[in-house]
Amino acid sequence: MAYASGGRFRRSRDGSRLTLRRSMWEAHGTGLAAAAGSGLLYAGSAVGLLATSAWLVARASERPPVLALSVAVGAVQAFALARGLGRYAERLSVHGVSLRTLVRLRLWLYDVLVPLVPGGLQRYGGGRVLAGFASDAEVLATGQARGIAAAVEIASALSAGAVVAILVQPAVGLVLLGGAGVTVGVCIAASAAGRTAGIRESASRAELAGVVMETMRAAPEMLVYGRRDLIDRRLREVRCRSAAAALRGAFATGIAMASATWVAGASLVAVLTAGFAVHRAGGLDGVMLAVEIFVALAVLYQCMELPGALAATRPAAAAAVRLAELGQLEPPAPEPEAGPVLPSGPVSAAFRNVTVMPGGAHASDLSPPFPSPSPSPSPVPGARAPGDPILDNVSFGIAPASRVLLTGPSGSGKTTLLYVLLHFLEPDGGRAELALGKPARAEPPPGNRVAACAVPGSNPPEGIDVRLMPRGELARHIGWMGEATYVFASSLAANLRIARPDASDAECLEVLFRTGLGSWYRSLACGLDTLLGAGGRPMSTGESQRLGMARMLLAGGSILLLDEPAAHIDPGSAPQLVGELLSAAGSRSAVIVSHEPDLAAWPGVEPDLVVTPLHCLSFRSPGLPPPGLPPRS
Amino acid sequence: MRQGRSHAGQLRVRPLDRRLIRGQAVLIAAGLSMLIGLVSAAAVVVQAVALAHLVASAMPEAVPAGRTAWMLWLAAGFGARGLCGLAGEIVGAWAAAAVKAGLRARLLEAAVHRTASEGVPGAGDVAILAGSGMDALDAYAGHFLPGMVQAATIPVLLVVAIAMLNWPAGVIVLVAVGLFPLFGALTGSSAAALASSRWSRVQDFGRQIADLFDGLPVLRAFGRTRAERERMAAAAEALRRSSMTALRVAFLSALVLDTLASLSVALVAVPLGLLLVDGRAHLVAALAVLIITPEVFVPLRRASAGFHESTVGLEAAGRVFAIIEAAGLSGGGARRAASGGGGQEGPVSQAGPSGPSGPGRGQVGRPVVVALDRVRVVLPGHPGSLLDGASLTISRGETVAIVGPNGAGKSVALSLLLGFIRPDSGMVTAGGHELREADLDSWWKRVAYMPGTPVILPDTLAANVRLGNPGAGDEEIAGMLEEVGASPFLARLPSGLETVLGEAGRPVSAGERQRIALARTLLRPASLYLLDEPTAHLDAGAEEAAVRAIGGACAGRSAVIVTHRPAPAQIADRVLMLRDGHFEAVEGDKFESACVVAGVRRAGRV
Repeated sequence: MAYASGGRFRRSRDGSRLTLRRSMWEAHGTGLAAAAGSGLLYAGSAVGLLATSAWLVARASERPPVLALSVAVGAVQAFALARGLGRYAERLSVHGVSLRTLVRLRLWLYDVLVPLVPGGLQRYGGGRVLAGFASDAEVLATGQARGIAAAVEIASALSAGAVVAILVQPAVGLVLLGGAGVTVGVCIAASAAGRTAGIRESASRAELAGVVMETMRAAPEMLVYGRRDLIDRRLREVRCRSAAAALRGAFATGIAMASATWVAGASLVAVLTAGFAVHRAGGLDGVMLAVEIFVALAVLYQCMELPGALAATRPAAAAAVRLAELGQLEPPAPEPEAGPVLPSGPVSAAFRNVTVMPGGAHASDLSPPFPSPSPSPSPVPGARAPGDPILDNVSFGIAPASRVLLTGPSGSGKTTLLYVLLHFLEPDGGRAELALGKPARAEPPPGNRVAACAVPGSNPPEGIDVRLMPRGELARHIGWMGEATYVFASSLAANLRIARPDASDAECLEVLFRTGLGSWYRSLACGLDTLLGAGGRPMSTGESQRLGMARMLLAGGSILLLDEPAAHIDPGSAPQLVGELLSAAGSRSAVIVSHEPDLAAWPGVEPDLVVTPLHCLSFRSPGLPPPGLPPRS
Repeated sequence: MRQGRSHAGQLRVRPLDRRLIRGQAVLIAAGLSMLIGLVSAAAVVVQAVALAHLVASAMPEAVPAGRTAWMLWLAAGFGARGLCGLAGEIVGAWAAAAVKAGLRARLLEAAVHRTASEGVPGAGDVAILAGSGMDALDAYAGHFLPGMVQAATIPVLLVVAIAMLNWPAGVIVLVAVGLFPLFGALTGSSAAALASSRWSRVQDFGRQIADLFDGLPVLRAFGRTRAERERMAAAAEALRRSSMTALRVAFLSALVLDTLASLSVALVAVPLGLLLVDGRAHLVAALAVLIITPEVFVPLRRASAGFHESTVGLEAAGRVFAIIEAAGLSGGGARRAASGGGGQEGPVSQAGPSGPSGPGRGQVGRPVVVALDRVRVVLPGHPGSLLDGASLTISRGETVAIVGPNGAGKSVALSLLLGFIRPDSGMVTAGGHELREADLDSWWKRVAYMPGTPVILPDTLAANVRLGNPGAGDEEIAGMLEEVGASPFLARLPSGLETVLGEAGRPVSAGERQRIALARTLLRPASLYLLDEPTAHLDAGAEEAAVRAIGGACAGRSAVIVTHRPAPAQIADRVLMLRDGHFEAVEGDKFESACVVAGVRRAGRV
């Protein structure tokens, strides 16, 4: 097989897929240098301001001629102005770095996520999860800005203060440097100790969010049964735990702040003691001692800001962990950049001995950005046992203009089959292929509604393996819609043109009318420019599913895959919707996935072929019940 | 495909919004913050005077006596400041927890109303808001509010201290402190005006990115990921440039405030020096003033930083208030539903004017007449009114089935009869008394309700069924489970009725859940049975058993069955179609066509 390997994928469009660390820190040289320079100006001026004003006041008390103070007067004012300007420049350059990081992080995230959706992130449960990663990137960039600012300011204050203090009197200066160093060390150690409390705090927050969701679901029923206490008690318990965890976290931060203050105070006392000793020995006059002490004060005040700054970077650490985990995921189906081209026209598809084992490796123990609000689905009796293959040696064909129904209980591999054909997933054995015109193997006659599973081993001429085809080529032939069509927060036209960017307005209208959205369209005030999605005109589930179908028709592929198109439609309206979607498909092939056992009998469905992946399994292996009987439990 | 769109407008909450600052906890936290502010201001003064004495003691004409005492004072000052910092963090976290708990309780109470009227799907957003959305208020309650209190106390005390040490310096610092809010407001408002449009673009872009990521599977399936990446990269780069321009303006206000703070040190130091040269000032006082002056501005800067930190939280609070206010019309039942310790409140609290003759006073189990009289219900987010002049009377012992298209308001009609929501106009009566005035707790004692998505408690099967009738014995429970067709399920359970279900034990499928909830509801001795889609998720055979059980239990009692399927409707005395906001009677022979109009699914005919 010559299809792209994992290694080849990683040298994607930029030449290489960046790691998270590199996309955060690479090529920031100028920005970081500017931040360091302006930070030094800021912190140096702060030290200079206190030092010169101390000198000015102390020297003035010796009643010298006023002229002797004039340089200091000028210097004090200059330092005061420079301090503000330095701070301004430092903030700008730090934010410049973090804004650049944000741009790169978003692109990095995009590149990481594209090959992972929708097959490789199943553990996350879909939904708003991807947006959660997007906000992680923002949190990380903000945290980077705070971290850089804290590091630059503390380093500048330490170095500027130490240089001035050592120049004035080396011994006292060294005592100050030591004291400030210990203060910084205590801050970092105390903040690290506070991290555990922070982690526990965020865990209890996640628990609270889950219980809140549960409470809301249960509330109406519990109210009527007079059992409010059942939900209140649970909520109260979790709320108390969460508040206690928050207090512990605050205590940890507070202890870090207090110990920074205390150690800074002790350092100041040490500097004073050293200063007095040197003064007694005649190594330092009173005025310069005042300067030393005020320099120490400026440096130690800066050190006392550190615990707050470190606490502010804490959310970024959690975000970084999540993003790094995400970055380590292997794409389940590496895509080739170029490959064979299938001429336009009615295309047929075939699955040949497709076997998919339960993955797990693709999305191992990941923590989602926030708890999924929907309760996890409970296992359905009759579904496969863990460890069994999801698909075991499945073979069948999809002829042009046919209707294929994939049924079976949840977890029986229906969606997995679609993903294999779409090359969202890589099968562990066998392959899915596309060919122009009819597939070589004879199909069951139309109207045959019995599960049809070809016996493997026949030797038909081969089509093109979907794994060899680049994404654009696959998208030209296969359309796909999921159980909840995603509607972008954009205009109706833009939502349709995702399928084909060069589609004319007339073509857009045509597909809308064909999918039964005609009267809906006429009710829109702004026509194709109507804004949809979040913040736009709300759409019913049925309407958005029709929009999904309209997209597929506009894309022009000849095989349409409908994954549970009526899953979120109320049972009364589902048959009508499915019937209309299928009639809109016209002469294209349609593969419809549904867990509804009786979908085959719905008006307008009339499948040419009904496939139950689990039945295929039983059909193949002797000793298991034949198709038609309930799947093994 | 990205078009900017701002939602922020209607959600704005002012920082000192009365709705946020209420309750004892906030007052206590403010009082404690003020106390902490007083102590830390005193500590700053003590520290400054001690340090000034120590520095002055090294000057030529000074006497180096009493240094140890001043050292101890200095250490005490640092010690007190450290304690103040620790106490401030804890008070802040406590206040944040209290503000969040209060707001969360109000949100949940409103959300119960929303769940009752819109069903569980609408609950997801609220849960996220009540969880992580509330946490965004930490910065507000933990930093901004205490910061505001301290910004109002500490600078005043320190200026007084400076004026007592050296009055000309006190005047200079007072002027600078007075200019601080003025300059802040001037630069702040012009910078805000300049920057806000760009900032909202930044926020919009964040939303667009989230939108793009959520729709990524669609883009990939249509082979559009590369083109969208190029667009995103270009837009992100353009936005970065304009953000930098915005930041240059936005940081100007911080520049002005920083410069004011450092200039005031310079402005104090120079005249102090001149006064000292003239012998009109004392060195210790001058040094102490020099140490105190920068401290005056620290609380002010901290409050302004806290304000910027809390914008996200205020936006979340805006969304919370939108939900709470939308539910404002709801009745007392929902109000008490989720308010923390609501469970302890006596049922008497809601006994309105109807007093002893309210609908709850009737005998449990005796059928009751309930009615909707020309009710109109408007739900937020729905165009027009959902129910409009809908009238319905269920006479004593009558079973009524309600059919109708999805979203017609069938579940809302049940919520009205339960008292979860109140109509915008019209009346809901039970036993001849208006539900609005009634004690809902005692009304609910006479009602059995099965919602569309019933709850399975993480408890034993018996406890789950007994929820409807706490006095029911095991045999009764097993009998009812058999009646609703759950005996095969029961037989498969390892410990029978004592098997623990739900997340703590054996998982329950949708059909099993439906049958357990049906047994729970039918076992309840009630005057009125309200069943929302009781046979959903059941196959034809199971549906038959369930319908038989419903028919048996509801015979001679008042019952309302909301359904999509014909089978449960067939046991009803009357079938009503809810369409376009009101009920229409469906005649027996027109039932089939009504089902077709309503999209009723022909279950069990395949």
